[in-house]
Amino acid sequence: MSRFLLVTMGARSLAFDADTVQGLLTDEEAGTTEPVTVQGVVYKTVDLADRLAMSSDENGPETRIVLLTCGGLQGSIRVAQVRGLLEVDRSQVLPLPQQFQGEERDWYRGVILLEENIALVLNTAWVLHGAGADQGGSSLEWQERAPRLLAVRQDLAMGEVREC
Amino acid sequence: MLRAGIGNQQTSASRSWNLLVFSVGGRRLAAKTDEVAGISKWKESVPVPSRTPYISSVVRQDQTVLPVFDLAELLHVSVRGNYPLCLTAKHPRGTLAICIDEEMPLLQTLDPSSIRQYQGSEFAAIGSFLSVHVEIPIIALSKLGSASWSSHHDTGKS
Repeated sequence: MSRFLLVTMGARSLAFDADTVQGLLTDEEAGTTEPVTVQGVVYKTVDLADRLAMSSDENGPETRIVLLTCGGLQGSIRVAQVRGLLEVDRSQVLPLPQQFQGEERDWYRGVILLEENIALVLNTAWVLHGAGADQGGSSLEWQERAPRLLAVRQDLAMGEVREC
Repeated sequence: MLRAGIGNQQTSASRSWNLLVFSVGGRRLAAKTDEVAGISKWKESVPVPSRTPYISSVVRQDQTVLPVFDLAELLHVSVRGNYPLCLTAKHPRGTLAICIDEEMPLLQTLDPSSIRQYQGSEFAAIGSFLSVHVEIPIIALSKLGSASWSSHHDTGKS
């Protein structure tokens, strides 16, 4: 089984491998200083909406900052809403159709069928490629932040929800 | 007589081309029925950010996800009607969905002698034929999105 964090951005459903999600922050928790730093780790801001040329709708009451890590890179993205954790069998992650022939084949790991919709599974390594290679460093801010913030509102969750 | 008649019909049918005539943005096109998997009601597509020319969304059909080839965009037209149809096309890389006008497509049998070369270059065509003085191109659905054709005809998208 594989677990994914399901979010919405630009009115689309996107999924991230839950193993690459380090935490979720509200705007208040993230503060106004960029990049976000948690536990001494710097999460460079990634403008995913811009990279995917999607409309930006990540400034509502449900907005969250998703902290990601993969391959030694860390980054943060803003999403319009966190819908929850989804646990699916690996076979339920369908490959991107072969007709997609461009560089987008590096952007996605596949497609998950939801009840009425689909979610695009993003390749976190590609997402974080735009975050640069900085590994972060010590910061005084870390003491003020909660560790490992992966928590999802139960009423928004789909599938099996486990708090980490 | 009857037997001979049937035989002639079969010979004629085997030589004839079976075409599906449909329209996109009011522009009439045809495709060989061999390359058509089906016609169904169009379901709302899901955009997929992409760099592949004319393929930037998918539609869900039960437990499968079909890529959408935006033929209307290629033709610089808008699909007509409140209830557009979905033409599913057979393709070497898998079935493609194409949104077409709500006008019900027609089946047409054509004698090969009436098929002529299509002069247009916006898509790969097998040929064309005249219908009431209007040239109807026979689009090669199996070549939609092929790299060799796209590289010659895509200009603004990469």
